[in-house]
Amino acid sequence: MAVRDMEMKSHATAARSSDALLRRCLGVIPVLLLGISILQAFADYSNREQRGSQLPEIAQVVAVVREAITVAAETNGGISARLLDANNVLRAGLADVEVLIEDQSLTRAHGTGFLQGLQQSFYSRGSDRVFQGTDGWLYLEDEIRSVTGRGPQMLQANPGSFQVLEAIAGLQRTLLAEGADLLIVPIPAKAAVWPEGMSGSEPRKIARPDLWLERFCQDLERSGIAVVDLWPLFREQQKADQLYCRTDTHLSGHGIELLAEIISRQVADRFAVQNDGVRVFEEQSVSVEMTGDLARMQTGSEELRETQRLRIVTELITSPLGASASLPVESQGYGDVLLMGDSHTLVYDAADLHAKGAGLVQHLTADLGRDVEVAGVRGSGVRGAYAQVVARETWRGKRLVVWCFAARELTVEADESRMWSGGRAGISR
Amino acid sequence: MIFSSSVFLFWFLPWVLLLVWGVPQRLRNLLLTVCSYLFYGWANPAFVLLMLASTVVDFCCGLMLVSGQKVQEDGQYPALSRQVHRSRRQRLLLFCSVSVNLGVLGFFKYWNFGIEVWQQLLLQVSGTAVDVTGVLRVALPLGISFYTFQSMSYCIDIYRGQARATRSFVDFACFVSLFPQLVAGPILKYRDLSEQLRTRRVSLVSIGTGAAFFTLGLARKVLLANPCGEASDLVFAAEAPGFSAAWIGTVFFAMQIYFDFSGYSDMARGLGLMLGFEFPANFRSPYRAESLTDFWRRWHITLSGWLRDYVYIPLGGNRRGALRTSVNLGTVMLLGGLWHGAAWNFLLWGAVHGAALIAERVLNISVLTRGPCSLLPAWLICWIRRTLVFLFLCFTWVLFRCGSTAEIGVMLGAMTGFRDAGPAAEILWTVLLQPWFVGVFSVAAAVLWLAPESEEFLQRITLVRAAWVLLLLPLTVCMMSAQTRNPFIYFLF
Repeated sequence: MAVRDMEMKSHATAARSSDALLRRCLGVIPVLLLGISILQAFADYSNREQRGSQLPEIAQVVAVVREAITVAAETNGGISARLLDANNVLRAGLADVEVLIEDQSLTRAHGTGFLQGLQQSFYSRGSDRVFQGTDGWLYLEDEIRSVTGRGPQMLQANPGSFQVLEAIAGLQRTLLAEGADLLIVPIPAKAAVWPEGMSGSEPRKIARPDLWLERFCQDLERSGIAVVDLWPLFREQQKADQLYCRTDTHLSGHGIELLAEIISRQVADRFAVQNDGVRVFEEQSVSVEMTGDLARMQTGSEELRETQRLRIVTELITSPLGASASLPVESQGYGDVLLMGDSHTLVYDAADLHAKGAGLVQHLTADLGRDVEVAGVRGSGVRGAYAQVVARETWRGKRLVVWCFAARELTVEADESRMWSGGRAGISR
Repeated sequence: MIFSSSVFLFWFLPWVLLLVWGVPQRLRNLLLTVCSYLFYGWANPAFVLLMLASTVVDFCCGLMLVSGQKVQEDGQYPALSRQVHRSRRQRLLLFCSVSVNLGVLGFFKYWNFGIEVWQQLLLQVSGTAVDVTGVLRVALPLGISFYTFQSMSYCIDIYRGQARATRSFVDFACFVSLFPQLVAGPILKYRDLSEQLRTRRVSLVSIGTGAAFFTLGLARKVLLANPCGEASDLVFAAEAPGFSAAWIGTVFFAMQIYFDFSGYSDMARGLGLMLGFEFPANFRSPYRAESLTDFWRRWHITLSGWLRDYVYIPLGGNRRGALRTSVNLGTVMLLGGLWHGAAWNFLLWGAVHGAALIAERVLNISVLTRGPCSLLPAWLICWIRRTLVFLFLCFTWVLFRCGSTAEIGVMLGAMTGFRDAGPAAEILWTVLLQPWFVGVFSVAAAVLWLAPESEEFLQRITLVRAAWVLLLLPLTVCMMSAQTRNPFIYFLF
């Protein structure tokens, strides 16, 4: 019995000592974190010329503090106003520093790809921003959320957020006073028009999933604002032709052509801006192989390529002597039609957006027979484009403004306010 | 600054640890306080002043409460005698401390809510909407509910003779601002930490254990809470999710909030250990509770303990008859709901929990142990009870999660089958059924109901467990870098 007790005691002692040893070994974790921190500093130092500073993060913190002190010293008003202004500068500056640190972190540069590769192999999911459907179809997660969500009413309910309806109504009033018209063209989400690509099911008759967009269009119509509800037209056509890119968030070449055709039809029906049929345009069909933005977001899918058939539009100009030449169609500042919105107004007409000369502006120019000026922004086609057009008064001298944007944008801010995120406390990348 | 970010993990934490370990013992609290203020001020520097003011008020009140007492050999004031009645001055000082803390909390947390209620009341009474655009709106300082409760408990404990007042402002400021638990708990009591503030030892064993706690917490947060949140956000934002999607979304939310908060608590405990502090546990497998009373002994233990010590017991606890006990229970749960946020849904959540706790107590619910049910095997009864408690909790999480009565209506309607799925429900299903979410759901469920809590896991460290912790670290860090959403629910409270 005594021997057994001793044996048990010695086992317990051995277990205790191995437990303590292993606990000490786990102390390597903070050392690893410190090691990454030092490696980060070395990486920053070795890239100092590229990044403009030896330790850009520290340099930026110092710059922010300096700026806050300057603001506190120079602001007019009492001490509280000065401190509040300085505090706002500090808050914004430190948030930027945090974003910089996240963006430049070594773990992001080296770890993200590895992990997304693993996820791609096990779960067919290379990024939390992209949903991988079947047959090469990729969808933006934000867009899916906008389709299934409640739409922009949350946005309108939040007094601090951008009020889309007010902005549209305001622009309409301004344009009417100038004798011009406004046409709103929200582009429905790929997931709403072609959900079959998500599940791989056969095309069939479906009920409209983004009911809120239908309501939104009806609200605009009731307020006397011209709007095109593209979903019924797109849904019908998508069954026959591919209107959206498989690996990109934008419309396909054919989708852009159809969009231009629908807009010009609406314009002919509703407005005074008509095609006088004098100008002659030519179209040349080309094949473009591309990797869409969704494929680039998704690790493991960078090599995913698709081919788009685009029609490059040129204008046939004949000189008084009879000589003729095909000239590229471009955005014209003196045109009496303004096309404002997001990258849908730029795609296939910018070097980084797959092609040149086959964008919405070219097809719209050809269909309308009139010069079109583009005020497109990469990013927010609602808030951003509106701010840009209002600030620059780009609408002056126009007879028609076409405002074209991805419908998901109407819900983005609503989603952010709904998410338990951290808009306020967490990090938004 | 949140724990699951590069700025904290690779810039703040390692250097703070190095500095704190490197300086002499007497300077550690000062250094920790400075670092904690930096940590807190990162999100909004102005709110540092608010925390400092709260700290100064409670420190001064604490000193004045024991003024006239003789300093003891250890350089500290003795605790006030529990037998002696407190003077009018002491009562006034306590009132001052409590009212300042509650005033600050009330103003910053409930001002906006008060305006909304006032606006709605006027609308109901006069029938006209009142324009409140010019009325002051207040931004909520991070973690205000946590540190005001902590700071307030100091003076109450001194008054009750349960804690000794400190003469060191640095020690007290360190206690209030201690960064590991500053913005999301666990809620500490000064009496539990006073000795550790004066003398604490950091050993390689405590560092290793702390690092393991921290890694497990980070993994819970990044690998489980964030993906669960992604799925639940999708469902809770849906216009008409339908029965199954609504249930799945709600269960995902139940998982998210647990892993989020318990992960944070584990990280806080781990950081505390690395700095030489021992914080109390905040969770004990709450979804394995077999009754609601049991749940509240396992969920956010430090808040339940605080409310018990400073509200429930002073109200009379369960010593004044069944009716008074029920009233006290209801009051505590309502306050607990309101503590989480200034909104009707939190109040409703607290009220429903209060009512259910009262019902459980009054009816002495033990149906499964009587009659034919008693013939069932014990393990089955246990799982049936767990399931029933979990289903009830899911319903109440809907109240907690939704921002408006309309949203609550949509979700509860769908979960009870009274609201049909909308045309987008098929798309929702397609997303929820992707292998990633199925995988996350399975792993999260296994951890919830089968795996040990972090504390249990780290009770005895074997080679396999140590290897598991070391494997989780790079996986978590890579995942953290890849994620585009990284919220912390309890930061908002």
